[in-house]
Amino acid sequence: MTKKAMALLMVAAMVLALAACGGSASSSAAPASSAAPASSDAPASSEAPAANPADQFADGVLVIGTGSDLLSTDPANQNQTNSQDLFHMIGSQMFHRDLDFNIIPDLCVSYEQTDDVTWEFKIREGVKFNNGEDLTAEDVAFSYDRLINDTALVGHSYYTAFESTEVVDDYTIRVKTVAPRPDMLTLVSMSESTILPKDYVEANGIEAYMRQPVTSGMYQLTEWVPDDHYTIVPNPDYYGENKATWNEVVYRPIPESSTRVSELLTGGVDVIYNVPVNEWERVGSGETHIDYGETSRVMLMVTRLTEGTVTSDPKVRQAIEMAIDKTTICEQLLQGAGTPTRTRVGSAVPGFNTDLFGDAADLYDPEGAKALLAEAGYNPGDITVTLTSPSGRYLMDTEMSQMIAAYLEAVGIHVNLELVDSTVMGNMFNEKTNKELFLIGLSDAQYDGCYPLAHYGDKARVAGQTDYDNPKVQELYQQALVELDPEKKEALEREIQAIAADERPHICIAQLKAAFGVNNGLEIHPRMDSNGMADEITIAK
Amino acid sequence: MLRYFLKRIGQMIPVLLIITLIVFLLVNVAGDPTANMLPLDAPPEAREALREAMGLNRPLAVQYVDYLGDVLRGDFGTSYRSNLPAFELAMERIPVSLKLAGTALLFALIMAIPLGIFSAQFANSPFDLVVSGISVLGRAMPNFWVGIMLILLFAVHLKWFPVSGAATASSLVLPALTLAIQSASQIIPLVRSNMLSIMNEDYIRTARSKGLRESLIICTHAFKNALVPVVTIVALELPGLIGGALITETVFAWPGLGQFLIQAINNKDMAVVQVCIFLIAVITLAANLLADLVYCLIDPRIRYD
Repeated sequence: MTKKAMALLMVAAMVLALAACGGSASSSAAPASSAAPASSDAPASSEAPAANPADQFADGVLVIGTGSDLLSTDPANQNQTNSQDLFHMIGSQMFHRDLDFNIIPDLCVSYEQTDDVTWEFKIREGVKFNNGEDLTAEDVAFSYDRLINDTALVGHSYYTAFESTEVVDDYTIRVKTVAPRPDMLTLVSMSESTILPKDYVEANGIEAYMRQPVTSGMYQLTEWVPDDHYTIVPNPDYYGENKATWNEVVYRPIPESSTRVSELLTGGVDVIYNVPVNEWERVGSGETHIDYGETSRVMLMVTRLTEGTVTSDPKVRQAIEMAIDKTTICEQLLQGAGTPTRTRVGSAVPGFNTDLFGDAADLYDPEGAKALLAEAGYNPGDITVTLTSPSGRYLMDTEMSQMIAAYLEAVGIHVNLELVDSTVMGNMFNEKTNKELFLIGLSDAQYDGCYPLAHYGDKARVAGQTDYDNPKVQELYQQALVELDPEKKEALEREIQAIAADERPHICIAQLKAAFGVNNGLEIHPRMDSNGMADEITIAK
Repeated sequence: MLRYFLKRIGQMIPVLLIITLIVFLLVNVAGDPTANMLPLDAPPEAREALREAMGLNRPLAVQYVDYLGDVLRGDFGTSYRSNLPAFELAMERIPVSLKLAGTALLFALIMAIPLGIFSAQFANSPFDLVVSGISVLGRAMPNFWVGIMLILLFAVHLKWFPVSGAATASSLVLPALTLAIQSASQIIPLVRSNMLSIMNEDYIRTARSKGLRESLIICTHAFKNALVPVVTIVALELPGLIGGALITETVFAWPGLGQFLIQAINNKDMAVVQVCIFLIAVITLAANLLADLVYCLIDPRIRYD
């Protein structure tokens, strides 16, 4: 046999050997250094399936498939749910949100608002970072000062609200705000406010911290292989009363949604987030199921009220909303993964106006819409609007825009439908080059009623975009921004929403739900603000 | 030969400079890099402050000159995502992509060369027609679709291979096969046509008339000469497999340079985008040079001044 034939045969044998090594899908991409076994390996075809699916989690290892990798391991320099979730789990903040979205103490043991702009926090004693250093008020001040002063940090934009910090003693810190901040507890519970070890960062630089974060939370990050996996394990010195549910949690970024679903179905991962609609049937059968949870993301149309545009006429805007069957969009297109809404504020956010949600939010009346247009002086076909929509950025966004266009055509409004890429959409939104109607999905980064209402109450903010200008709403907004009584604040926010719903600078369509693909051995209690927090996933009883 | 080699190296420099300029311009005119860094409805003043802090408000020409100066000193900037040098991060991923590309090329050659040879030997037979059809199909099928289909068949239903990732050696098979199918589809007709033209040469007729076995004639005399144009395709395929496997790496969650580049584009991590494209350009130019040098080894008639 010639040498070349021998070489070919050896190569063929090598390929077959590789195939033989494959076997069932391996769940954890944990490297040799990790002692914990991979979780939920798909059983080989010769093994009988587990009698109780929960048994496969007896080793306490959870594998989560995410749509993207961590953006950054600098908690103050990221704006991404994966990174935010990570620092909620491995870091300490003054407060946390529990599963019911209530703000509860974490590092803070007590606080006092000494005047309108000064807050004094007392923190726990005896808390240690996982490098053995004590966590004191100096570390808190260092972390907050960094957010206040470094304008290159992505998180800085939230903390322009802070003016300065003052260390009173080892476990007491005062924070002064620029103006009264009723959302102070929200600000000191965000992942961006994760406490950094001052001495360590000053000695080694933030780069060293980012390579291996030094943290004090319930879990700790043991490994991050970018674009492959990151792993967290319990912090044995964690100070909190609640202990970690899992012995090890491995996150595997799998960008392609069909691949992520395949990993779930083969047991390569145990939970996936954002299951696309076309995969729900596949995921909802066999050894996995679908669970749903509310999000704060509202699909809405940014409407141009600029003088001279056809949508500056309030009757036209009202007719547009009346022409759209939101219930059908939610039930048929989104298959229940949406709820009709007339407010930009999410349903779990304080200040949410319940009168603008659910059945009450669907004003579908095509005949009424036609009559309103006639009243405004428009015959069928007189009006042409451009509806711009992203394609593939949000759940069924392309299809939703097509349905909306069809509804509008049915009442005599001609629609130029413009589908744009996600990047173009972002530029258009920021540069305010939107035309009459601009479909977008906006969520709430702070889970505070005032955050989304800036679109109605801040005239400068929306100049050139909606050009919405209602002095009463602006006044109510300014009052809500500094109202420290929660009940009064929420009442102001509800009033703003009611006015905005009638004046329609935004025509809100649906609040989206998130769909989770879950192994039958697990239960998930979805959080509105999360994309994979370990404490929302438990073993099924 | 050495002069030729040095001349080609010298020619690479202006090409790379032009590439850095084009990529720099494209990244900056494609939209505000801060668009994805902050929430979509962040206050305009926050966005402006971030742009100022990142130096994005300076004139483009000033930004480019600064960038070029840094590049000439070996500094390709810092990934804002990890705060680590972009060049180091990209270099870490090249071996991962090389592993995939090399395996894919090996699979492609294992499939394409025998099929091409046998197609030529049995030209116009049903076998030849089937192979030609498969070759056209392989070029026509988008590789993301091929990848997803291979996952469904071999990973989900048959459970022979992992679905995704790079945890085990067997994780390499499906993504490499996905890339190999398209590469093989280009190599098969080339091998076939080269073999067909060489099998009609006088020296092949002489070898046959001497009574040599057909298999010996093919392997010893015909194949080596048929290989010369194939080397061109293979050399050009390699950079394409490294830099062009973006979709395949995404489908299979393969942590190589391609997926790294996609993530950087999505996150508007400009330094990383620029260095990745720069490295892909270097690999492409180097592969072209390597192909020219390998010609000399294969065909002694080819010499460069």
